[in-house]
Amino acid sequence: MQHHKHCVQRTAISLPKRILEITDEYVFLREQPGILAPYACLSHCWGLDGPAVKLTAETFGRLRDGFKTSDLPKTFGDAVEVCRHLGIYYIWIDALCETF
Amino acid sequence: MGDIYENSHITIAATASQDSSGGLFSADRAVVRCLLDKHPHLYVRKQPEYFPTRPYNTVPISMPLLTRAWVYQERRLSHRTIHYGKHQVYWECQTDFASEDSREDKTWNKHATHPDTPDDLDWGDKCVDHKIDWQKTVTEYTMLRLTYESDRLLAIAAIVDRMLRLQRVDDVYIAGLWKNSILSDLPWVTTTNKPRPARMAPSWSWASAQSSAVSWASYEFTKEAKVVSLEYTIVGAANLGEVINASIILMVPVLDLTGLVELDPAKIEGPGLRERFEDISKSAPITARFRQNNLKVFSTFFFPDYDLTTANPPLKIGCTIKLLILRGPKGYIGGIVVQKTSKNPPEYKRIGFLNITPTATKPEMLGKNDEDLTRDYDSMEDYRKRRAEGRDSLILSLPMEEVKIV
Repeated sequence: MQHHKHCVQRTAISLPKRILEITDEYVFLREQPGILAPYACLSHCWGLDGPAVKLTAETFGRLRDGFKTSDLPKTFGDAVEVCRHLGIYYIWIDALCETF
Repeated sequence: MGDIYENSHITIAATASQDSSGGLFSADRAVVRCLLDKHPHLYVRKQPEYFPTRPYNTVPISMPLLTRAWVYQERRLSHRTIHYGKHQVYWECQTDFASEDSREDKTWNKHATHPDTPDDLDWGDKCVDHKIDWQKTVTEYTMLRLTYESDRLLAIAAIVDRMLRLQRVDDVYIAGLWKNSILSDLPWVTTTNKPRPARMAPSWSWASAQSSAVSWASYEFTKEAKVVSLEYTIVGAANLGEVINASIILMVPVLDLTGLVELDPAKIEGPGLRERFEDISKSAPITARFRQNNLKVFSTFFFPDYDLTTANPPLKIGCTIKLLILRGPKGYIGGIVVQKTSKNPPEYKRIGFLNITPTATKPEMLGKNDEDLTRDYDSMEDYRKRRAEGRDSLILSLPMEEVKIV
């Protein structure tokens, strides 16, 4: 990858205004984190009814205070696990970082 | 939203999952089996589907993510993506594509020049020419599925935003087309039987064609063609391309089809209307015009922009219909078909695209049955040269007219 001159190599990027921070068992929704760190994005199908957990007025508090990774929809939980293995501690998932 | 994917270190794609409950990891690798007792080290694998990297590749059922129009810009803007497929994992970045079994490994062409059509290019290939690059983008994007038709311009706006920042800083994005390349963006082709949606896109924009694949087939206006004026009012952000009061006045060679298309309502059925347009090539005025230039019409194809039985005002006897002439590849002739929708001021709406494939013929052979069209020529090259010459002289013989399209 270090030979890919067309692929940007930045690792220190300012985080999006809402992002999930990954810890051992929980994800925390961070707002305006104002720090530089690499993050991952998830690209996924919403399906007919959309994900079982979305960022709404009801879920906001729970996501901010720590949402158990094992309670996330399976695709989200798997993506968090991939990040942990890659040593990336922030992930942006549209359904959890944008209000719907 | 676009810069979120653009700035991310990596994008994780749940390529095989229908929805967020499917997960990333697949247990379905049982396709690898040891079949021969005598050769326990030999494994046989069922051939997995290919990862689609061209717009006309069929997307395998096992990769639902790749059918979604909204996901298109997520893939295009990400610097690197890991696709979790049903049978294996794929790596995609701005330089390479790689599959776990390395069967599909490739390096994208970073400086593709002058392909015959944009769909000759692979997904990750980048065109030197910004016009072709955009047409390739729209070709790939419009193959994909949108849940809400009203998202047609919205779901590609992040790519436009990037182009406005990096490639086309002095340009204006108008309803899916670019001001600086408007003449080469106009000859898009689609084919659909859906009505035209009530959306703020002018009839000359591909965004006015409902959920149908759009492409460009190397048709171009002649060098004499000019944009006389281009009017529009942008509503909303520059990268959305939403416009109102949009119109374009072109000065182009015109073939008048008024009266040549059978528009008797009693004879018009939905699918039949297409044939009515193709039948013009049998009409005496068209045959005569082709003969004058040592040409015959071999075949005619009409591609409607929408369900023309829903045309407003309706297509009926007495409608003024014109063909705005384009030069096609290989001596073909084509054109944008427009219908006059207002007499005062004279205004037209685009309704479709017509392709005419001519054959060259010598004057003494006219009217004779000619199974082998090339036999009277020294070589295939000679025949093609005559056909292109005939086509060009036919275009030159047509009047140049100012046509305002809304």
